Amino acid sequence: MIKEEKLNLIILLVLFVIPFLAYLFNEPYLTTLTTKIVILSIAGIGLNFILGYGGLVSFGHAAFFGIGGYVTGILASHAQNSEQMFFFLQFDGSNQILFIWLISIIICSFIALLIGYFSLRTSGVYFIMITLAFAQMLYYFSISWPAYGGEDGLSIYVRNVFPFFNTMNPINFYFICFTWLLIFLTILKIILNSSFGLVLKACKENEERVKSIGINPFNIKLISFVFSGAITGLAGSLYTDLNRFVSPSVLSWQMSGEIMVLVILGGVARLYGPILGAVFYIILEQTLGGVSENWQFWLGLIIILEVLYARAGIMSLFLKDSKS
Amino acid sequence: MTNSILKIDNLSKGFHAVRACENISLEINKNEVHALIGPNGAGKSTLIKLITGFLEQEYGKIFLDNQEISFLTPEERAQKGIARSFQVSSIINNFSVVQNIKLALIGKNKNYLDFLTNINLNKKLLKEAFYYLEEVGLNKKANELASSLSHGEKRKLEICIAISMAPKIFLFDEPMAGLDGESSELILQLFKKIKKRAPILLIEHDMDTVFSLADRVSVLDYGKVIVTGTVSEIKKNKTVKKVYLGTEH
Ligand SMILES: Nc1ncnc2c1ncn2[C@@H]1O[C@H](COP(=O)(O)OP(=O)(O)OP(=O)(O)O)[C@@H](O)[C@H]1O
Ligand SMILES: [Mg+2]
Repeated sequence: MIKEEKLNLIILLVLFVIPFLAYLFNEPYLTTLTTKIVILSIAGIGLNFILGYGGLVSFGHAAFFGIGGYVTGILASHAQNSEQMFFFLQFDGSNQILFIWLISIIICSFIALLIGYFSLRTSGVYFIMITLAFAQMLYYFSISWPAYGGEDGLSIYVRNVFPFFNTMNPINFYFICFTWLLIFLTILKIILNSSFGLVLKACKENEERVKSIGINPFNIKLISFVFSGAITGLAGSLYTDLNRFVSPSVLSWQMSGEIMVLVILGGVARLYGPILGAVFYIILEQTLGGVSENWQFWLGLIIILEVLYARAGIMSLFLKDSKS
Repeated sequence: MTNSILKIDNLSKGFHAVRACENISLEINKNEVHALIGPNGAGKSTLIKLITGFLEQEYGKIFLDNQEISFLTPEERAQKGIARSFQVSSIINNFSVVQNIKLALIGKNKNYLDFLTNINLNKKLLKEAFYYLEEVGLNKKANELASSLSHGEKRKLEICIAISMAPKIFLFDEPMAGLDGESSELILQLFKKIKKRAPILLIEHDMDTVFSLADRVSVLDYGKVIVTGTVSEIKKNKTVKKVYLGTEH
């Protein structure tokens, strides 16, 4: 039983050393797997920001994960084939990862602004349904748009280029992702301790009170939704580079469910919760997934147990003064 | 120029067959406690919801400081200087007492778009919050979770939130309901003090409190103001005796 800060530090340390151990024992697959954990953690942290702290249960975060993924795939594939992007525009994509990140974040923020603008007028079950509906629209669009592979997906063969740094080396790419994780953890920690963070948390419990002190909860939620979408979108961008491939599955409702499951598994409204959730999720997938194709049956069982006995998620199992 | 801070003109609102507020006209003046009394279901809370913008009027107008606010949103009205308490306490239970006040101060100072400054380290904000907590006597409970407060303390916290907004007018919906004598007395003294900062529209059932605190009283019955006057005028008024006081005294 330990303090939350200590647990957080341990989580980061473990994530930090795993790729070195993998290198030492010559298990490159482990590095790839840990990279996936880190990327899913970032996606989960993005969702947790609005779900955990703002009480907004978005069941459509695959929209951002997928758009980040497709922006990356599309820009890269144009650059690799030296193909002009639009018939009127002299621009044939880019394989510069910094530029791709920037574009991913901008586009995902914009999409989040649109989706948020419409869906945040609703709440509860309606909010869940409308976010799901937006994501499904994008999913079916990606399937029916043949230019970028349609149902078959889009391969980019090599990772995008980071200045002075070979991204094809698994450890290098891992530390790029790990750095992003640290950046987002830091940014969100600062925001959650700020005036804005306090108001967001207040919106979760009592919007009437927020209005009565002169603040429009809609604006607060919309801004948070945009942050959330941008973070999850960047995770999607990294995911395409990890796999050197993107397909409509990143836009599917199963993807939204996966992101939500790891947030809930880890512990809602705990900054590092999604990381533990992702670790646990991948471990389950790797162990149970080898035993049975229907490993998600066991995942379901674990979630039921968690909801019944450990509401605050895996984080709470390690913590002394766990708030329920 | 009049010295009225809040002016309500012919305000009306119905729910299906019920006329909750019918052509209500009122003026709340500087430095006064204006009590609003009337039997259950008379439309008192509805009037507060209309003034604060949580309900929309069918017709009629509301002016704050001679400026029409009838069509502003609740948050815009709060920004313009209307602070309220709810009939059922409305606080952030998951926050500590002092966080509740900090939240109100963030609203007042309009710095909710500050993403960077750590509010836990902001000494100025903390000092300001404590200034108001001391006023209602909650400073010793500052770090306790709001949900752990007693009923009376929650009411005090809600009043404290309103005071910390430094508004142009206070609207209090039965702030003393369910309080013991000591707490009621404390709040009574507090109201006498803060009415110099901004007038108070007070909904209150207890007649002794009303008569010792109010400068003027309006009596509401079936959604209509049947009389407005000073305490002594109200005490003497025959209709009031029949409709309201008659049943209680
Ligand atoms: N949202 C609503 N929908 C339908 N009827 C309502 C609604 N709100 C209030 N009413 C009705 O309007 C009338 C006035 O209600 P209101 O709450 O304003 O009374 P009140 O004077 O505050 O009473 P109390 O002393 O019990 O608080 C009542 O008849 C009530 O039933
Ligand atoms: Mg009422």
